[in-house]
Amino acid sequence: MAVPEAAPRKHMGDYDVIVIGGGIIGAMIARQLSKLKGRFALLEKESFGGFGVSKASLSQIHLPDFCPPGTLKGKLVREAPTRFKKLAAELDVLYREVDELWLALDPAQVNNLEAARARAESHGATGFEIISPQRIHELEPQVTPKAVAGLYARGLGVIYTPEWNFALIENAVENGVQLHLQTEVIDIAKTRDGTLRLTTGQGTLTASYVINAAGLYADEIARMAGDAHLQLSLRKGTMLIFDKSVSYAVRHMIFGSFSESHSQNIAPTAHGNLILGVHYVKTDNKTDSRVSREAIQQTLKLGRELVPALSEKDMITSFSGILAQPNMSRDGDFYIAPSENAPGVIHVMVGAPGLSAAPATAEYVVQLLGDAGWRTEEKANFNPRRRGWPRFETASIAKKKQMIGADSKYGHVLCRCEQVTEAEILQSIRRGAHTMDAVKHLTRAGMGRCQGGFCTPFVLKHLADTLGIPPTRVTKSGPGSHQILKITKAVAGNE
Amino acid sequence: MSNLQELICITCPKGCVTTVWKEKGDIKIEGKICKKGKEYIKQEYIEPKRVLTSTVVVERSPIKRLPVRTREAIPKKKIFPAMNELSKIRIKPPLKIGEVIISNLLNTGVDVIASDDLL
Amino acid sequence: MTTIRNLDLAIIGSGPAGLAAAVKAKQLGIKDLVVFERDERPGGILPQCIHNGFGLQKFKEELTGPEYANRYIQMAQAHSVDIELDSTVLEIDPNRNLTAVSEYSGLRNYHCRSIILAMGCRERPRGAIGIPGTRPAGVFTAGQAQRLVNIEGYMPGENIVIQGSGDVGMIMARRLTLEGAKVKAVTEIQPYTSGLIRNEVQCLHDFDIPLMLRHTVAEIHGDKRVEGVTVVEVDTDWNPIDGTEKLIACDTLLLSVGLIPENELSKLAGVSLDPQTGGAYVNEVLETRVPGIFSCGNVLHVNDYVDEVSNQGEIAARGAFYRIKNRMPAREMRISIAGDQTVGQVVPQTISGELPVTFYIRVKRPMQKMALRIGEIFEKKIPYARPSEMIQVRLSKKSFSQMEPSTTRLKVSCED
Repeated sequence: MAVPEAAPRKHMGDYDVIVIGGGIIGAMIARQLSKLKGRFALLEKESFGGFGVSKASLSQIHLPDFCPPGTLKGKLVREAPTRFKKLAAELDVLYREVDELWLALDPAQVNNLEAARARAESHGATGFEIISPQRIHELEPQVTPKAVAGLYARGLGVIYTPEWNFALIENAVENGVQLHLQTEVIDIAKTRDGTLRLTTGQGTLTASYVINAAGLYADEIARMAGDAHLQLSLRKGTMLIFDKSVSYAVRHMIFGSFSESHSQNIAPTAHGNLILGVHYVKTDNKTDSRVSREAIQQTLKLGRELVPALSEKDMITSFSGILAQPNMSRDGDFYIAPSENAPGVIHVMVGAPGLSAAPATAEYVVQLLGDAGWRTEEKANFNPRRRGWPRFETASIAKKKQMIGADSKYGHVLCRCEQVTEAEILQSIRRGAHTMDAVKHLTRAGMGRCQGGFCTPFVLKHLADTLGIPPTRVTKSGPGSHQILKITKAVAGNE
Repeated sequence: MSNLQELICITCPKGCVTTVWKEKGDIKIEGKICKKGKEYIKQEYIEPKRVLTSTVVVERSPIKRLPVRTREAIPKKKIFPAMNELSKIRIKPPLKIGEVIISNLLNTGVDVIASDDLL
Repeated sequence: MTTIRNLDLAIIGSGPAGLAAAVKAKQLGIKDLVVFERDERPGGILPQCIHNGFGLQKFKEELTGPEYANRYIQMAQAHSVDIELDSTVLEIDPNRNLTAVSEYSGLRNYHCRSIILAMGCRERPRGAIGIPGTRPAGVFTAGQAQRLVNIEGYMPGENIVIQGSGDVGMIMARRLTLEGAKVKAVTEIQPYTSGLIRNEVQCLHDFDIPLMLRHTVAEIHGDKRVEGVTVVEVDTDWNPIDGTEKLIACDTLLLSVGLIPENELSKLAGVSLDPQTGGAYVNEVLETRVPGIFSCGNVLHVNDYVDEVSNQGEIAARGAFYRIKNRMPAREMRISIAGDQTVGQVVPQTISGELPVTFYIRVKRPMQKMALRIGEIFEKKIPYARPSEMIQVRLSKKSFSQMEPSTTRLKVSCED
């Protein structure tokens, strides 16, 4: 473990447990911890949690048909939809029920379906049936006629991960977790009294236990804890979003074939778009989120193999994300275990399907804390209920009238494509969305057909006004990503 | 042949390309060109002129900028100096469309006027 | 309990189409009329189009966008047109029920005898054309940048590359240069600009801004903010040519890569759209296939000149008037108009043959010395035609009297 720098740093606090990483895993763990007595902190290096691996998620909640028998991930994905449904009610976030349809596009692929069913059953998930092409087309008329068989399971779901990430952290903070944003851990050291000292860009903190949920950077945190053998393999995945107007084409989560370089998937999103994926390339560059033309074309091809009617002209955007997976075990299983070299550090390295496993992972981490000797005691005053804010677009006419009656700014539509009102945009800013991207992902303003063409100036102005900063300081995604450069004709005394 | 210029006529979508030069005090134009185009090309050669449209800073109003224009075209070489003059202007409501913002801009004899109402 | 207000005419959009329609409708005597405008001021896109060149046909002057809008706003005021600002139409249905919302009046329901769609266009965003690369701050559509500069007074950047040499792209090249930015290049995928020659001269040549024809932005670079773009030459099929990549350092990329008629509300009302225009199928009074719903301006098809847009507004108003007064031609939609493979678009797509018609036609590719024919009833020699320059043909009622009475189809063709 490295010797900390000589320069004096601000001391930010002493905690029982610190979670490193404000993505979906860290957020889930923080919320789980907030049910217990103790002092907890969540550290996130960006200005908003969940914009790393979590944002590249397909946001799909699976059953364990993807998980090899006997794996930890399989255990943790069990009953994921049920867990998410319960959380959705508590956190007041969107959960959309979707059924699964895994297609074999030629006879050789039928074995894959059987294997998937067996895997699911090994983890206690029954209810998977193999169905005929007729039944497939009854369920999904637009699916390729080439499908020879399908694996059908009911009761999965889709969410929008950034909303959940935000809600989990809000609930955790409400229940006493301290959130430190723009706080990047650069060193972990043992102190004389046996606690751990974290050195960050903003100052130092100490804790008895540290949870490494740093996603793409979990290997670097592991190295700081002396566990350099814990490594990640990275893939860049490209996904496409299709306009809501073609959402009639697909109602299920449809899978096809899988390989190192692709994961054939087309599904509805929680908000009514379609998402097509995923084309993978191996990478070792954690910050490379460039989308290539080739990747877009390949992803399109993957989607159209499943649903031939889809056309590029209905695509509204494409994006790439880096997906991490621990590479220490042959079947790519999760690695969730106490550090071998730094007592008190617990590593949480997940891969796909990490999102689905998140609730059970959080419970498992608390169990490991107990195993490590920490006395876990439940708080009497834990409040599981977090209230979001109502969404205008999906509200009924009666509800819309009620919303406007309570806050007239619900009558002022700023994002025409997604019907997002001024009230929602202001709420999101007041509650922590301080960048254009954060507002976008929490309210959907800018995620529609025109991709922010109309609403950008309004969102920018509201951010500047609400945060009390000049418009030139409003950023897209944090320091360095300012939207506008300067004010025109700026001379002394002008704005 | 000195002062040779290649000029494109913009009076109609054809965009005829001409070569223009001065010979013994006369302006010579080579290339297909109609009568209206010839007038434009001659002016463009002698002294190119442009209408300038821009905005000025508005104070004491939720509206931040007022669009303005030169009433007529001014010499092209005065465009950037004109932008500089406009950057110094501060106006406040009310103002009516057509009102003079700068009279006789940079001695061109052309006024800068408001291109919209400012209520 | 829901209160429903009755209207003779609802106009969606207060741009040059909507305002012209409103004024005409009032002149024709339509009384209960509301114009719904989602923005905080009337005029549509015009208030941000501060350059001149508008209104040469309508007003015989070269006005700026705000000046043109102002003319119609004055006329609308003179005719007591009711314009509801900050009001978004949420929904319309085939029975012409309309739901609108605003902060001050809340949610309101209307039943309309007629509706004129005048919502204009949106710009094609980066996501829709899938430019590879990172997603840093500093990528804007040209119209978005225009609003930021001209209305808000913000400079989007200092070193700029513009993709697309349509008029908006070229106009912004000039505007940003005048405000002190350096426009390093305008790329255009075609071998010619898609805008007016006049803009090429006065926006690009005047400022020595390089125009890179047959080039496109192949990739965007930059982690948090744009740091540069890779530009590449393309062949006649628009495929990148290997080895021609050039990196241009910049902090801003503007996209001017197409306008899409904004017909989402139209679809809710069951209005069927012509894939060639992206706008509605209409007849000669611009009525869509849903009786009582009309479409005009850029939401009907992308127009080149604002004067045409206003003309269409007036035609639609007349159509609404006929519909309300039950004065539509006896045999509506009798004749379908179809263009052959040389024609990119022809509007209207059906006519009765009993009223004068203005046809709006675009060719599919540049043509020289072209003979434009409409059935047997019209022929004109056009020396020079480009897809980016719409051709208007006005036919009087008399032209149709030459037709066979049993005609049900008229073919439009362009032969060079």
